[in-house]
Amino acid sequence: MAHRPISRRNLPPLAALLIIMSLFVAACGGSSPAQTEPTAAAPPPTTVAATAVAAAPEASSKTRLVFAGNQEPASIDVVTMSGNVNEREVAAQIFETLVYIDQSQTIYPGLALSWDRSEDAKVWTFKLTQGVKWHDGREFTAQDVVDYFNYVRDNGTVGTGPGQIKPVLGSAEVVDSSTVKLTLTASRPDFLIELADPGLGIGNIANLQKLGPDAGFNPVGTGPFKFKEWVRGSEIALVRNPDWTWASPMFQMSGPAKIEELVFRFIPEAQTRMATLEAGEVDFVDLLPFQDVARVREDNRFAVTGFLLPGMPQMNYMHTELAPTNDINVRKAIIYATDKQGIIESVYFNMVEPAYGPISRAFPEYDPALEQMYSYDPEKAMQLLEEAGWKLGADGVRTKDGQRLEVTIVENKSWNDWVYVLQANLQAVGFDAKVLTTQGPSNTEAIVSGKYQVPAMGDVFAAASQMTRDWSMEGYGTFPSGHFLKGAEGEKLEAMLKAVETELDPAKRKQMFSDIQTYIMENALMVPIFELYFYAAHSSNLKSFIVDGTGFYKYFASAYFE
Amino acid sequence: MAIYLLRRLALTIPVIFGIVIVTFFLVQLIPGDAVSAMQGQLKMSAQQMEQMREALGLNDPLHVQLGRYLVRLAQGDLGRSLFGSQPVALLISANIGATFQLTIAGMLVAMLIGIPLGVFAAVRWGSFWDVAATVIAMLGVSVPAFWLGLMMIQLFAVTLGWLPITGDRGLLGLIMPAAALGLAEAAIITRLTRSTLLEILGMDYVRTARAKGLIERAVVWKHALRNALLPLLTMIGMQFGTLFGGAVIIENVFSRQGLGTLATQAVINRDFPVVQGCVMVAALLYVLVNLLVDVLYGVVDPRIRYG
Repeated sequence: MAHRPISRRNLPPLAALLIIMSLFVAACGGSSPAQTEPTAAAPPPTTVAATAVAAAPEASSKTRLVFAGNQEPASIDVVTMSGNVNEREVAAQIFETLVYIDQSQTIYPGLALSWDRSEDAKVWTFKLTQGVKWHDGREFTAQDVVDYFNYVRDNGTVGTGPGQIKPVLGSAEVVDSSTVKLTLTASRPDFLIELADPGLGIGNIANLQKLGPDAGFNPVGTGPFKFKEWVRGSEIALVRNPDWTWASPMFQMSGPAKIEELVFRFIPEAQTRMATLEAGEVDFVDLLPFQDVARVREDNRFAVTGFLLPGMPQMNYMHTELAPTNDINVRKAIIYATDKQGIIESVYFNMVEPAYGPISRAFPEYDPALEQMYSYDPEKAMQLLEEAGWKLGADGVRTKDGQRLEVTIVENKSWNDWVYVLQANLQAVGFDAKVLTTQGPSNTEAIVSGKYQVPAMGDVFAAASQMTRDWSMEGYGTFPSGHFLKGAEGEKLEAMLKAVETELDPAKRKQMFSDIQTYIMENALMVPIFELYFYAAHSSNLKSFIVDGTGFYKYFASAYFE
Repeated sequence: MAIYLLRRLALTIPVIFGIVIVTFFLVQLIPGDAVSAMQGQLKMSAQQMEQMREALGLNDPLHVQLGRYLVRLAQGDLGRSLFGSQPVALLISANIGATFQLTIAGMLVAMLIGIPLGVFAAVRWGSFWDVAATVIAMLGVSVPAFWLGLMMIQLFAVTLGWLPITGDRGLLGLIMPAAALGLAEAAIITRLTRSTLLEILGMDYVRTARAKGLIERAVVWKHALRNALLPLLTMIGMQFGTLFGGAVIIENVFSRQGLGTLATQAVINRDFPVVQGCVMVAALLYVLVNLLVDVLYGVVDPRIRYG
């Protein structure tokens, strides 16, 4: 067959073929020369301090920082916003809290210059920072703080941040032009840690009352950045507040922020988010996929930060009244059958660490004795099930009195990729384990329905006493333990939690926390899986941003490009 | 023609009305309600949740809720989002432009690639190029748009640095999303153009045109293709809806704003006013596009008369 020269007429299909072939090459070859297989690396960092504030920064001329998050806020009014991660991230730059807390768990002055508390931790007096102004030029006063707390106390629906303290807010009063006194209805030793939550920035009630719901799209705060523009579905732009001269000592700076424009772009697709960093379109990427961590670390254009998040590790609750998890031996069998290390290796590329109880080891109240309580032991799991009368059937599923050993794991699609390994682990010892996939509100609905035995959960909070929200029988919003933690176990735990919330003696508190953790694990009320880690990547020349006490939120007031 | 257009436009009113009613009841079939969805976002006690249901009118009988919605709709009020309280009309107007831009650009890509490739394959029927065009068309149909989008990002943005991924709201930022969205449609158009043209090229009047000594280009592009356009137009009108739906995925991959993303998030959040607003607008657009297609029939084929 004779070869014909390529004519102009032959070009279109050739070009199309070339494009498709190049796409396949791109797909197969990847883009970064630094790509490596994740190795059985050293354990992830415990708490990686945020980039230290440099003593003598040599700033570059770049003053525009683009941050890529995953979810666009519905509102950024700090009083009423629902409080997803990116809402708080944006609000943390616009609004200021009375106090701040950093990764070392040090509490710094914020809008409150100093504070004092009564012995019973019910009355808190705050001396306010002077010279503070709202972004609209109005002076920030003690009355503004009182108005904020009164609004939170008196209004039915407030956001997740204020919602945390709403149940204990008693009265707020102006003592003098720079002093505010808050009286709580219960002792709250950890109140300052709660107040440092970016979701508890002091909101502008005057603006809220003037604009109503539209305040969420025209926020007026006192923080280092002012709202500029919201391009719906795409990005929120903030600009430097030139009047901001009252920086918290946490920022180790005075004067306005170094970054002139701070843009938050919302990119739901993780791979696209990462690609925008690699293409130089953004400077900071949140929620770095675990599979990308090792590869990005190898690339000297970027720096990776990893944070152990304090709170409740990734885990599964176990329904104590619903069969078959109403049997403690079944619950214990589930814990023994769970291959945590397998999950960590296969799903998280060794970028997280195993968990052993209801609170993270980031807390001083964490009890390391829990680590010896259970191990991965499928034989032991099968033995416990046998003793409980669950006999293995021909189809590999155990039965007892004609009932199959059936459990449903509730998966939150956004966070719980590991549940399929757990499902396989349980099937291996004779469970008929099913997975119910949910997302967003349907996750809460599935859990509060109380129809499922082992819903997956995880939570982030800065003070160990906040674990109450995960274990209270009353249940609360996204923390619906009360919908399935029933009976004597639930009541006893509830009493222990209430007691520790108001205990002031540090030694006694530690012991009480230890008792709570032991009680939860001895009664097999949960399956601990792994400690929550949060990875982010940013341009390696971005310096001096600060991460809050939970490890989730970044402050960019002191950030600059080297 | 004007009377025909007016009659067709008048007919859209009952269509939209029907869609509003059906959507209203379909949305009610979703388990849970907006307040239970909000429970995941806002901290509310059972009493507060009940108060909020009362305030939003969710405890009223369905026909009362529907009546209230229709009265507001007649006044041009689409309501407010239950999450963030933004007016639905504002949310839609902020997003519809981007969706329209993407859908039209995607359709242009599909037509600019699909029609010439289909013609090319038809006139070289049975040759290597015909097979190659068919293979390309099959690949186009088979490759998922989100994968294609991600690969384009890797190649054109990360590796070559030619095109922006996000942040550029101009034409440059539209190239990759439009190509990812339009290539699958291009494949469908290629196949339809090829098969329709093949049939037409065998007809007597084409043979006559050739016998008259017309050059092949004029035979194909002026005589044969014009007659092949009618089924193509029908299909393009129908594919508009597909592109509109496909835009959701592309919006997600390229982090573009748009009605699809807005509607998807609203369904997840049980944000009923936004869902209803989005469905209504999408239906209206679909009806109008099909009306436009009907009008274009007359332009393409003067034998078609409207009365």
